[in-house]
Amino acid sequence: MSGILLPGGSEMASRGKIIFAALFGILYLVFGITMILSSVIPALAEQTGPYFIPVDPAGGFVLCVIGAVFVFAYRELSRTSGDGPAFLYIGMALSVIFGIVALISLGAQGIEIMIFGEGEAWDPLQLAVPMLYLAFGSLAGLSVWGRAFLSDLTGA
Amino acid sequence: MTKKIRIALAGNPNVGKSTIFNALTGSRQHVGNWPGVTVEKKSGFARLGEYEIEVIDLPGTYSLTAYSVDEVVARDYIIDEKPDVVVHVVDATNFERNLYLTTQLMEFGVPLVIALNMSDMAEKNGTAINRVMMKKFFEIPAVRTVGSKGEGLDELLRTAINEAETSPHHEHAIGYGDRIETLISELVAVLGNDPALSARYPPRWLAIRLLEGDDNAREKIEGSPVRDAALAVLAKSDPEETEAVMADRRYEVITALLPQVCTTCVRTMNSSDLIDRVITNRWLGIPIFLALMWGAFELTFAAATPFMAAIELAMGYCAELVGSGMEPAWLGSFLGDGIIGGMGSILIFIPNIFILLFLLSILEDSGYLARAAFVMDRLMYSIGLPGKSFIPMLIGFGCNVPAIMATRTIEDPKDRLITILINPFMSCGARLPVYVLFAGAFFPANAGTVVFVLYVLGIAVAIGSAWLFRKTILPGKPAPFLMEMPPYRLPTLVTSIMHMWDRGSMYIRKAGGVILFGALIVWGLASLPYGVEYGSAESFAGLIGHVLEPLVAPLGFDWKIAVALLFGFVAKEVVVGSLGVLYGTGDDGGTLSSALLADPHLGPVTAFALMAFVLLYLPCLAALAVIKKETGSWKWTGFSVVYGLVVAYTIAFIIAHVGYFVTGGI
Repeated sequence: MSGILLPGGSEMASRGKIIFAALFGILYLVFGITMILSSVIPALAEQTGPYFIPVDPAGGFVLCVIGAVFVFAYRELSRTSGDGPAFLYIGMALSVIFGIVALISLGAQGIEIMIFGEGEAWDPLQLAVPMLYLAFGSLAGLSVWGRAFLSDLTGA
Repeated sequence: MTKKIRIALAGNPNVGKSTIFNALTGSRQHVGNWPGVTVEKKSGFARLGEYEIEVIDLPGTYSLTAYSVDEVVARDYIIDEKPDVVVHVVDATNFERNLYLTTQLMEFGVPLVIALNMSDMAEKNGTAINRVMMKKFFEIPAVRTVGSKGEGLDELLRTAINEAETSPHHEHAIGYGDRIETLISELVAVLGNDPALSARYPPRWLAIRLLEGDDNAREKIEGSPVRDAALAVLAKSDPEETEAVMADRRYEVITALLPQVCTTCVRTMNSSDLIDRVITNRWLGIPIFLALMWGAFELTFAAATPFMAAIELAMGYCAELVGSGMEPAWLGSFLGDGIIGGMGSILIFIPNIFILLFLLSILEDSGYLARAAFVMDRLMYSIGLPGKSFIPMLIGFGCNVPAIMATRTIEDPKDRLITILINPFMSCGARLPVYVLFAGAFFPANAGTVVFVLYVLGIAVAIGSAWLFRKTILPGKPAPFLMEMPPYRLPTLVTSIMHMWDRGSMYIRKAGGVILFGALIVWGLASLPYGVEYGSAESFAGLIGHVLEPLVAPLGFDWKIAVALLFGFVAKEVVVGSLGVLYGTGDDGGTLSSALLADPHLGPVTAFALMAFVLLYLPCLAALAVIKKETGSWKWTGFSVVYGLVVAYTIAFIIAHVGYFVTGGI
C-alpha cells in the first residue's frame, strides 16, 4: 500500500496496536458470546451474573460485531496492511458509540427510577455492563492513536 | 456549398451536457420523444463556417450497459444512427469517475471527442488535465469547455468536424486478459459469418456485450444464422463473473492512465475512504448496520423513559381533574375518555418518535445511510431489487409517504413498482407508539430489542416480498446500483435537531388532527347508543368489534383490538388512541399499559403477534393515496391492501400459534 496516505500511518505496524486489537477482539467476543449463550443456558447466566455480564442476546450480538472488527484489525495490522488502522479505529469508534448507548440507556432508567420511581432504589452498579466498561479502553486507545484520524474526519 | 455533419452529445448526468447543447443550438431546437419510449429527445442545429451541424443530446448515463431505458436509447442511437462524431461531455471536476463511460464509448469504434466541461471550476480546484497527454494515451482529442459561459464551444465544433472528416480513425480496445480475449475472438469470428449483423453492429462491441450477459445484445442475435454458434461460445463463461472482470479491467486502465494525464486527479486516501473499507466490508457491513440499528432502537426506547414518565404523570393529573365528578357526565367522559384517553395516549410516545428521528438524522447527516444502501445492495440485487431501492426503504423508517414518492429516482418501471409495493412493510414512525406501548408493557426488560426485531421483521418481509414479486408477477433483472458516496462528516447538533423537528413536528400536528378525530369517533361509537355502558359490548364500537372478532380471534385478538385495528387504517397511531379510549384509561388516571396488562386476553405472545400485525397489515390512508398516485393504478393499490392483509394475517397467526405452543401461555 505504499504511496497511500494513511492517517496515523507512521504507527501503523506498532506492536501496541496489534496487542490492543487482539486483546479487545478476544474480550468483546468472549463477553458477547457469553451474553448470547446466557440467554439460552440458565446455568451459565447464574455463574456470569455476579461478574456483571448480563443476559442480553442483542447486546451480545453487538459485542460480537465489535469483537469481529477488532479481530479483522489484528489480522490486517499483523500483515502490515494499510487497512489495519481503519479496522482498529472503527472498532474503537464503535466501542465508544455503544458505550455511550449503554450509558444513556442505563442512565435514563436510573433517572426515571430516581425521579418517578415510587420507593424504588437505583443501584449505580447497574451501569457495570461490558458494553460500557470495555468502551473506556477504546476511549483511551482513540485518545492516544485516533487524533489524526478524527481530525481528518472533522475536516473531511 | 453547405456541408452537413451530425454529432451526438453523450455523458454522465449533471455534467453540463444540456448546457452545452443549449449553447450550441440556441433557439434552433426540437424536443420530442425517442421512438417507443418516454425519454425526452432533444436535437438542434449549429453552424460553423460552411458546416451545418445537427446536434443530438443523448440521455445522461453512467455507463452503456442495458440496465435502463436511457442507456439503451443512448447506445442504440450511436449504433443504429451512426453519428459522425460522438462528443463525450466530461465533468472536469470529477474526471476519474467520468472516464468509465469513455472506456465504453471507445469500444464502439466511433470517432470521439472529449469536452472537458466545467474546466474553470476544475482549474480553480487545482485540477490540471493535460490535453496533449490525453490525445497521446487515449488517442482522443480533448477540448477545454465552460458550457455556462460558452467558452471553448467553437473549438469543440472545429475539433468534431476535424475528427469526422479529416482525422484518421482509430480503433480503441481494452485488453480483457487471455481467457476473455480468446472468447471475444471466437465470438467475433462467429459473428463475422453473418455479414448483415456484423455490418450493423461492431463485432467486438457485440461480442463484449454478449459476454457480459446483456439481454438487449442477446436480442440482436436472435434470428441470426450464427445464433446457435454464438450461444455455444457464450456457454463457456459465466456472464456475471465476466462482467465483473471486464469492469475491473476498465478501472485498471483508468487507474493506470489517469496519473499520466492528470497528476492532481489522483486522490490520496482519507478517513472517509478508510472508514468505507470497514463499514462496507463484505463480511462486516451488514452486521455493523444491524448493530447500529439496534443501538438506535435501544436508545429510542430507553432514553425516552423519563420523558414518557413525565408526560404520563401530566396526563394522569389531567385525567384526575376531569374524572373527579365533572358535570354533565358526558362532558367528563368526552374530555377524559375521548380527548385525554385518545390523544393523550399518543402524546406519551412523542419522545420516542423524536429520539428515533434524531438518531436517524445523525446517521443520515454523518453519511452512513448512503453506505447502508451500498451494503445492502449485494443482498438486494441477489433477490432481484436494485440497491437504489434501499434508500426509499430507509426513508420509510420515518414515513412511508415521502418514501414512496422517493421511488421516482428508480428508472426501471418494474424495479419502481416492486419498491413501492414493499415500502409499507418498512416500519414508519407512526407504528412506533404501538410497539413502545406493547413492548414496554409485556417485554419490559427487552423492549428495545423487541422493537429492533420488529424493524428487522419489516425489512425481512419487504425483501422476501420483493423476491416473490420478481419470481412471479414482475419478472426481470434489476438495474445495477450507481451512487456517489458523500464524505463522512461529524453531524452537528443543530442540523440534526432541525431535521428531527422537520420530520417529527408532523406527528404533533397529527395528534391534534387525524388522531384526535379518530379517537373522538371511537369515543362516540363507544358511548352510543345513548344509555349503554361506555365501551361495553352493547355500544356501537362493541357491535362492530364483535362482528370483526371472529376474523381476528384465531390471532388471539379480542373485539377491542379489532376496533383499534379497523381505525388504525386511517393512521397507525390511532390504534393506540383507540385502545386508550376503549380501555377507558383517561377517566381514572390509570395507564394504558396497566390496563393492557390486566386484560386476561393479552399476554406476551399475543402482544408480539399484534405488533407484527400492526407492522404489516395495511398501508395507512395517506400511504394508499400516494401508492395510487405513483402507480396510477387502482389494481396495484388494491393489491397492496390485499397482499398486506394476507401477509400480516399469516405471520401473526404463525407467531401466535408457535408462541402458544412453545411458551404454553398467551
